[in-house]
Amino acid sequence: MKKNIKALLDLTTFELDRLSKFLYTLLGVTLLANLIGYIRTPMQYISRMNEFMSTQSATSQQALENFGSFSFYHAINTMWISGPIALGISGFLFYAVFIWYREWFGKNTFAYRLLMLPIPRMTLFFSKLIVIYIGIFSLIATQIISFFVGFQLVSAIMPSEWLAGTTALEAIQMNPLFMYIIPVDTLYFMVINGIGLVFIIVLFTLILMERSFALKGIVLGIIYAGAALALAVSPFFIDSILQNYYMLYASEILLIIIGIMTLIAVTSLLVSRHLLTKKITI
Amino acid sequence: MHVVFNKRDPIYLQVITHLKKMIVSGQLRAGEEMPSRRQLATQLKINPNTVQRAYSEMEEQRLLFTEPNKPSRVTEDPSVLQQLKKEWLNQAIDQFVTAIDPIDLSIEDLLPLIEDELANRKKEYR
Amino acid sequence: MIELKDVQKQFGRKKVLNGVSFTVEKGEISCLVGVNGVGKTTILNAIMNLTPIKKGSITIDGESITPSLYNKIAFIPDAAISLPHLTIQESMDFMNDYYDTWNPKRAKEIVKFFRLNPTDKLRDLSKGNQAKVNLLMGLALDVDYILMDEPFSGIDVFTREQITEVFSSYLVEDRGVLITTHEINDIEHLLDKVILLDEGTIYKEFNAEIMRETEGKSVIDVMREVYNG
Repeated sequence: MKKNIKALLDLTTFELDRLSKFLYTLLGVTLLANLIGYIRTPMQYISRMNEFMSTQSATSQQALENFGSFSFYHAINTMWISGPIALGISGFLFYAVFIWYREWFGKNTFAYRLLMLPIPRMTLFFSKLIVIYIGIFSLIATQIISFFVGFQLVSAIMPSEWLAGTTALEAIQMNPLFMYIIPVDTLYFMVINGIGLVFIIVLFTLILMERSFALKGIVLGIIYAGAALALAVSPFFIDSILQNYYMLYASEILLIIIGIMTLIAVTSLLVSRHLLTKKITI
Repeated sequence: MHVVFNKRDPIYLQVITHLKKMIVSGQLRAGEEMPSRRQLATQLKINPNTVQRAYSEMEEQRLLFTEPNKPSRVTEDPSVLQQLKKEWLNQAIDQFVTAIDPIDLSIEDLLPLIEDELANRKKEYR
Repeated sequence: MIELKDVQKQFGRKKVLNGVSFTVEKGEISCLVGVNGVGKTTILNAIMNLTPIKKGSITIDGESITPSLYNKIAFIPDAAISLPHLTIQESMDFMNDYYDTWNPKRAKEIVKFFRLNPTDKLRDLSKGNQAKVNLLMGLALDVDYILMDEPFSGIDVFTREQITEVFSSYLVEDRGVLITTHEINDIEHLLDKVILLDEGTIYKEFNAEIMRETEGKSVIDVMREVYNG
């Protein structure tokens, strides 16, 4: 047991090392794009205000009435911030597939080495899963830090009489995209991330199906994914199926969702274990 | 040490012939330690099991002997060595005679030819 | 002893192995011979649980394979299996992290034997040296059985000579070795057992030395009979 945990840690460190270049690139792009956003957006506002004041020979107060005050929300509700987040999400979706296929493709078949390690093969599964989560949370943590640095930056650039009193937290809460990734509402954040986790576990299972049964595996995977999806969304239709719209409280539906998600995750893990130990083909 | 093996005769027999030649020629002296089976296998680039088989066969023929936990040695028994030389010679003469048999030559005609060849060979070695 | 009993394997509708049975003994070098595409690699993959079989059984000293047996049996595939951006030393450290049977002292000896440079990165090595690194990763494990897939394919003649030396050296001593080849000429005299594979079954399994002694036939002679007859 102790040996297996050590192997999991070793393998996770190893995978993390292989991820590092990709992760650093994403982090770099995020920080750079954010920084441009934090500076450019308030500058544009300032120049618009100044232009208005000089062309219309208006006072600062009149300009403010015309354009409204500048809040931190305006600075983060741009492509400079949401772009890198979208890039990060799609990047890790891509990486979740790549993390498996790279062991088979190209000139090197590292899959030989990994599958012949004297440790339970699920260790490979978990190390890859953990690494993806380490990557995602690194990105989230960086984004949070970036927000608070960005808030200071915007406050410093913007003349205080034009700056709205919005706090960084309020600005973040105004955009649902940020709600997904920033833990401002613990329950909401956990649900979103729970769904994400189950999604990646199912994705891994589909990849292992393809790696085990090739074409047949793809068909099997589509059926499996369809079944999992149908099961996952079924709680939202309980009411309409039973023609009873008052039967369940929202909290009860949440519990059912959690139960179903757990079921999908556990089933996928068991299927994955079976495929990895008995069916996988080099 | 390099030996070319043919592919149709058992290799252990070819190894034995090779070692016998070394003993007869004095390249391996009476009582001399033999290389380990692994060393010889590496030298000859053959399977160690084959060397093992050759060694046991030679032990049976009393050409080699092994004391417990020691490397095998070439026999020190003069009668065995004598016998080996005799065998070797008999075989060589047999082959030689078989080879020249078709040519009609008397022993008187042959002797100077053999002496010449021996002299030539000795010169080459010097 | 590695024992295969009636092993069957299919890829789609194509039967690749059609009831393969043979054994590999400890202390012997066995060779699986057959033309390309006859299923030699599939057999090795199946022994290592790298591809499932349809029917039959494979045991190693009576046990079917589990991850812990990878400390007892090693496989050297005919493909680069170390990461190109790692140095030889880093690849060895990787092995040391996971295998109880990794023998660093022996690894060092093999590095010297093959004249490799531990600080070289895999991607900078010649094909011959990459093959040597593959061998290194398998031979430095203190395992009872070693499988090698086509150890002589696609390498220059000097590397070939060096690799041939491995088979008569202490590196494989007392182990059970199973190699595959489609080209037996240079290694006939190294083998104990020859297993001829044809059309998914074992055509003949024999000891090369006994074949020479009792029938006066070389391995090639026997193969000629099988494939021409």
